[in-house]
Amino acid sequence: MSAGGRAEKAGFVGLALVWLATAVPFLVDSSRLAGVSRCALAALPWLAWSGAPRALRTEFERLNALELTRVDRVVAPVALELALFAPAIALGAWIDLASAARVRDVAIVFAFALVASVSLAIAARLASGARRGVTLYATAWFVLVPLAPLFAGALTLGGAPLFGALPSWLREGTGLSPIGWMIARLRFAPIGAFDDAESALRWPGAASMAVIVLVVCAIFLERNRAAEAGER
Amino acid sequence: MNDAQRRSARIPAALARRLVVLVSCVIGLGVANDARAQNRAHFAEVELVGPLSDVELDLGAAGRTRIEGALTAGESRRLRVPCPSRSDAERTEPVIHFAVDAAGDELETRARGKARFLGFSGPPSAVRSLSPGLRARPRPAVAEADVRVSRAAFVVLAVGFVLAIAVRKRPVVGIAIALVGGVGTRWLVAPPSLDAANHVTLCDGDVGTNAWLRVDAGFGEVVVPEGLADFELAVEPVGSAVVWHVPLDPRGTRRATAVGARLYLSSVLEVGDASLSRERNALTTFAQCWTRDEGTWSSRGTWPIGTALPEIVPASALAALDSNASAPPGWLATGLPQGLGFAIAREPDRPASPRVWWRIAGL
Repeated sequence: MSAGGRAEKAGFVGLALVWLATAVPFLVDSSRLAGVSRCALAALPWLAWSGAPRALRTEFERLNALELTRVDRVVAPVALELALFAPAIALGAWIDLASAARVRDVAIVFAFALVASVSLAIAARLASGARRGVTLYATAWFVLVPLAPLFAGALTLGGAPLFGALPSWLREGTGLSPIGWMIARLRFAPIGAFDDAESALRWPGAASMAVIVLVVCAIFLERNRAAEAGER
Repeated sequence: MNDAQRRSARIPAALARRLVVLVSCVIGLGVANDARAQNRAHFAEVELVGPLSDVELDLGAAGRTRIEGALTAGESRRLRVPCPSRSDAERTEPVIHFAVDAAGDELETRARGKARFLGFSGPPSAVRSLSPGLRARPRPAVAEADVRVSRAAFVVLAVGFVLAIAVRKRPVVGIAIALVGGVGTRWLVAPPSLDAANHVTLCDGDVGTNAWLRVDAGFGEVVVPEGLADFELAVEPVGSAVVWHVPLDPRGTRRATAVGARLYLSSVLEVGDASLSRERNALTTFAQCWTRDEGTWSSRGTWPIGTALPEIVPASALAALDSNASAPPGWLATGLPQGLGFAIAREPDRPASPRVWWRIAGL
């Protein structure tokens, strides 16, 4: 099997695992997940996966990527992810609506899940072909997306008995992360409430900024990549 | 670098990606299952001066209290309303907002109407004064008025997965699958069916005592019995956002709602002299009654008010009546203290009312 074929196969395995994490909760009896936003739960795996750095490690992969059109390299894989995950997220949103959750709240979670995941998926692919600066994207993604929720999770799940409640700066940081915002939205709570520190109640403005920063970073790297290709 | 080295170089990145996804999901479920005991009915006083309408006391993630109705210019009202704070420590002052009237100018309305939070009030609920043993008895089982998701949902998603992989080189078709799948899944979900089993009332007490525990339970919603001034509210899953609906009209019905949660409204029931003994039922007519003597449950059939406890119904007669009549429901009969006589009884069903159960110790 060629290196390209192996990479494609590895990509499918990863996608299949993430899809299973999204779809398997729909096999669980609804009563076990009472009080949990199914839309947010379905959106979480894809949101965590979509923006993860996809560096092309070998020269062969880079050369192969240079031959691909933008449709083959970016649009087709992102459309595939959309086809895999959008129906599951929509099913979660329908369940939330049937559970009498507020239409506006469900619509915001659904729209943010789709827009943020698609944007992150595009950013990850744009950034993947560049020879230089991939580490920059990977670092930015790690800091802006999973870092704060991982810290908060470690403290909440394991450290709470010793360290008490989350410090305010970490709570704020969690709200900046798209994953952190989506985890907070697992509980039904009104979006846009006044004067409250909990990120679940806020519009996903800060989390959207993180997504925009990553997309801008990826566009910058894509330009570098185009310049590299020109030099060749 | 050979193929094996390239493969091994790729493994840590792939592993890290999968780890991030997995940990995110675990964190999410952990947050969703946080469990602490909480009373979600903390009484507060508010002063309203008209004109205003639909006042809302916003407590953030804990929920809110909606005061439904309108006051016209010159009207004022001082109200004692329940607020869904999660604990005594989190009894922070709510943010108050209110809607503009239908024909009104918002600024003008806000300038004239006034809503003021006067603080949390009152001593702890009388429910706390009941014996710990009584309060520790199992809560009513409330049938889940869950949203019904078709068993075909996973299969439909799996078919979508296969289709999407098959057309992966054609992005337009992929986007079409996403659209059709997103809309089509609407027909896999049905709203919950609300029936009598979703709302239950349980009156729990000990013979010889005057103060009993009444628990009104519901899935998604619980209604406060008319005239009840003092109560506590528990919610499962704990931490769910609760909305209290309090009508300005004193004849209106107060209720609490929480999406996808069970609500248990506890209050003290003063039975006074209208109590119960084997010689006389002075409480109410029971459509069905069971007693536990020496550890065995026996059906006593109907027990009308003002009469003595009926004789045990023979097993042969029970089989002819109803297969469920031989023993009381498990949720009422399990977890009770041993060595003590118990009676469990059900009131006759009334239309549009929750089913009422009685559980009495020491009979």
